[in-house]
Amino acid sequence: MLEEKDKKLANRLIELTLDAGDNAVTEIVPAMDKLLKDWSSARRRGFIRYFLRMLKRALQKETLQIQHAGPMEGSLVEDLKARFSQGIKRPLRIEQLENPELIGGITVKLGDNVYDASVDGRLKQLTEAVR
Amino acid sequence: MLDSLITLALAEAPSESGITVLFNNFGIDGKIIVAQMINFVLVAAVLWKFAFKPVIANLDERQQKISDGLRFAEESKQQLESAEREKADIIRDANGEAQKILAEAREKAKSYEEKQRAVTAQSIEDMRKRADESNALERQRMLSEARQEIAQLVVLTSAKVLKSELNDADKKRLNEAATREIASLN
Repeated sequence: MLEEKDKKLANRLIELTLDAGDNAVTEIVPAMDKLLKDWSSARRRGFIRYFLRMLKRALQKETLQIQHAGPMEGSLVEDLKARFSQGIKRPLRIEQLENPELIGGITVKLGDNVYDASVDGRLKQLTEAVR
Repeated sequence: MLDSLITLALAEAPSESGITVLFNNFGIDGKIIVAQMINFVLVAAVLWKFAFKPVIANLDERQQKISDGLRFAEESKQQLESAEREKADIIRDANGEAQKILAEAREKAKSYEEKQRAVTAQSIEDMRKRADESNALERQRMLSEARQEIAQLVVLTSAKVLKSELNDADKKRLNEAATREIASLN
């Protein structure tokens, strides 16, 4: 079980990693190496697990995943990015995937929130409504 | 001893009187009479002592036994009559009791039968209601399943048709509309 002070440290490192952006690997990894060098293996393992889990969650909160069927113009992506960036201090990462199963339309996922405006989603809603 | 008594009697006898003469004339000897009387008394005493008294005692005893027997028989007869009366009373009471028990049993049986009939009728009614409810639920379930299957078929068919029919231009329009919709939500 990770101690509270280690959790706070991990959360701080996550903030720094996200702030560093593309430079995270060159800036944060050596610092972490130096920091964890004298720790016991169990504490180090627990710390890294917690760090990765929280980093993944933080990245998901700052990654706008757009799934679409058919062509998606860049202006539409930018429009969505602008809309979802409101209230977020760091620029959103965009993850764009083409998914033919959607038939038409798009789905947007940011963190735990999912917005579905696809034909497949509409049909599923229709199925649920009939039940 | 007898001879001495006779001699004494003769010695003290008075001179012959008229009675003596009469006795003599009739051939009655006074001494013999006296002797016979003494003999009679002796024999009578002996007989009384050794014959009559035991016989009388025996007779009394038998008489007592007979009386006891008769009394016992009378008592037995009375006891028998009493027992007969008691038996008759007991039989009468038992008959009465049996009639009462029989009447109660009949009453209870009738009551139980009516109660069971009511319970059975209620059970049948409950079973009928449950069966109706079950049938209604089953019908509802079947309708729901059928509706779901039809809906799924419609959705699947629609999806297939849309997948094959939509071209890139259509998809592009759909994406634009979806983007506007999501942007308006956020």
